[in-house]
Amino acid sequence: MSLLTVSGIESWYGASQALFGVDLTVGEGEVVALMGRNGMGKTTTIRSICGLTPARKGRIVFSGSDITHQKSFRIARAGIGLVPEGRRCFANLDVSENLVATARPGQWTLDAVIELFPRLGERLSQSAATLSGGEQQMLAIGRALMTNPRLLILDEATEGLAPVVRDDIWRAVRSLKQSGLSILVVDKTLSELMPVADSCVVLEKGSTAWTGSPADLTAELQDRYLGV
Amino acid sequence: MSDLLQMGLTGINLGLMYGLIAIGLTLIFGVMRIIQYAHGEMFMLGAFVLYYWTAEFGLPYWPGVAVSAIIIFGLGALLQVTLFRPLQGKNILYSLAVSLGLVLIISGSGQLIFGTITKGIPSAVTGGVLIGGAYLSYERIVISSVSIALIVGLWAFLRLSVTGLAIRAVAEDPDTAALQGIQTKRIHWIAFGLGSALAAIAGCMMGSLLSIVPTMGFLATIKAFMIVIMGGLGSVIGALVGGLILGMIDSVVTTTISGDIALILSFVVIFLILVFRPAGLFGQNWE
Repeated sequence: MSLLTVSGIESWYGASQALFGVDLTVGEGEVVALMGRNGMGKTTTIRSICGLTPARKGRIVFSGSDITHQKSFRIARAGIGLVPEGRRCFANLDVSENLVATARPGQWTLDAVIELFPRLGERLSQSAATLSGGEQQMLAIGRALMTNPRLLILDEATEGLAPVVRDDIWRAVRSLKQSGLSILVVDKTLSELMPVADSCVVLEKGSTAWTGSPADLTAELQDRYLGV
Repeated sequence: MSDLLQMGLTGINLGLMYGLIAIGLTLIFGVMRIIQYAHGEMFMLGAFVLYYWTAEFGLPYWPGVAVSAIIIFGLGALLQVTLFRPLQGKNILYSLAVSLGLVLIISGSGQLIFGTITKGIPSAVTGGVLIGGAYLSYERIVISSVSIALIVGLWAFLRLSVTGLAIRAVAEDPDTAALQGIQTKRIHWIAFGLGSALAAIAGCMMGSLLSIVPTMGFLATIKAFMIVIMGGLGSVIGALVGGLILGMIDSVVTTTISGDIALILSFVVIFLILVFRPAGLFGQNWE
């Protein structure tokens, strides 16, 4: 059953149109990879889903409810947790405060997040500003999980991180998938993304160009849609 | 020696009250990035609510302080929703213009309604105690204690309560806070109301020690801005430290030289702080 259905959305930044018809579906417990070269509309699609850049045309349905024109906080409360590009942890709050500030009841508690990312447990009283990039990424994921989402959106979660830290993040993503959480992932590391994804959506020039399973995303298609 | 102690105690007392006004102002700026120039009018209205409660209706002092804080909280929240919310995210000059208009309206209306004659709020407690040769009235002790309790309470609220954490999150990054489910509009009116209520309580305290007039808000606003700029825009601890510095200058220099020199020296201190720390003592650079 489909948890998130995005149908033909078109979004603008002021007078500039950025999305020209994006379609994608995320099922319950499914991991969907949202792919495309830089500037093709991946982040705008996520912003539209989360209400930051509301779609002017098309429809976004989450768990049976139309969220196309909902406010961001309502979309978050409906069950969509975003790990934004650039992490955007609250630098003036410590790790524990970052996690607790937006927590909502559910299976994801402080202890559960620390179990997933033990390094956060060692830095609970440390300001988020003093964390390494990898630790901030773990904190951003933990913070989103603490809202107990039904759908987790990861926007470039491993970008700019050391290989060892990337491994930790991908291990966490695999663990979250096993727990049955639906995930929409934007990431450039295809070698890690393909094994974990159930389906792929490729964007080109602001619209959906290809949809299919990772196995069907041949080298030729990768070259056509994702090559530099 | 006793004179120095007397000036020091008075300075701390004044500084704590200045701190209360400035913390309210810095809270409003920190969360909304707007200039609330009518903050001093909240201070003035708070004092007049208590005046009517105690002097005109003969009701007890402390419930009057609570009533004043609640009324001004409501007024602040109402102003935020009706006047300042539409200005959110726009050029800061718009909020400055609107709040300057509010100053004229509230202060002018105050003179019409309350009159222009100086009034006094009856003291909550009488008597005092000699400490090392310095006389300290029980009223000042109570007022200082209440101010400290409020500042500690606010500190705890901002760090330990979910709403307090949400206020700090919204102050730092409202978009990300909304993406995590925080209703930023609600946080804005809560912070505005809270900041206004702190000014009202400071007005009650100051009004008990000194006298009150409808134009008293202007000087309070100037002092609050001086403190906030000195301590750093958006910094609660900066507002407290700035308040104590200004209170100490006011007390020591006014007693030993004159009030005018105290004001000049206050600005000299602010200039020096801004030369060496352009963002203020505890501030950050706001774009």
